[in-house]
Amino acid sequence: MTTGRAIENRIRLASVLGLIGLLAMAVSLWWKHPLSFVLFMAVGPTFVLLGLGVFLWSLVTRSDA
Amino acid sequence: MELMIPLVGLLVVALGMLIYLAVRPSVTRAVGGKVLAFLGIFLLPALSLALGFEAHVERAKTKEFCTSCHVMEPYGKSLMYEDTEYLPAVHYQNNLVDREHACFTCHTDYALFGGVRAKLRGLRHLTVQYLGSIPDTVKLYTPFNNRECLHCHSGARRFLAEDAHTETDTTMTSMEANRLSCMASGCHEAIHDAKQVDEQEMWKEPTR
Repeated sequence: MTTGRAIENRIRLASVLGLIGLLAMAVSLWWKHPLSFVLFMAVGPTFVLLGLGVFLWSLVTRSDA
Repeated sequence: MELMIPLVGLLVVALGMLIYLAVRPSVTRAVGGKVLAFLGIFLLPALSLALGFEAHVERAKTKEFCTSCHVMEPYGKSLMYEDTEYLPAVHYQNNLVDREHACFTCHTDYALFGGVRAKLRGLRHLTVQYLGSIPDTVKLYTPFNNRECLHCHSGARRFLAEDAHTETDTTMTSMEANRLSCMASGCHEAIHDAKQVDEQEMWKEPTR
């Protein structure tokens, strides 16, 4: 099992990835440009899913779960 | 637009949760922290994605969005031609289409998943705009389907009163089957002559 510190680092990483994804989505809503839809559908969800993946990874490897 | 307020609220809450988790990941040791992480990392972003998708799709239907590509600007301007025979201008200036959604109203597919196909065409436009080469003359990928015209006009009194539409027993059937195009020569052939945009006189909408 992974140590508490390593798991917290993963949760931090998951949060930062989620933050980037949500910020990309937020920017796309204000950016009035044809590419804003691509930013919203491609960049935002990619980071959110990566964050979710890292979060799930931290859950399955934590010893106090 | 009505989606924006809940969407912004959702994003702000999710961002706040994620910032808190990034600063203090140790909270996830407790059950409450795990719930917070589930909400901030999964549930709220998923809801934001769903609402945001709807907001983007709605925005993509507006004339402002369609003409935000440089190549489409003349087509937007052509809606203001001072020409009572020019079909796009007639529709736009007489409010036969919702002005805010003027492009989408005529250029979507009025069929099952037509909106989805219209969006996929939009993504194809983007690919051509940024990764391909823009042709000198912008053309539709496929011939304009009469279905899009007949969606509104079929059965309308003004439409039926026009002799050409009911000229023979088969005229209407031919139009419905796309054997006779609404844009055929001698019918409504003046469609978006955007190359002439700088030479055309423009309609000046009276101010109230």
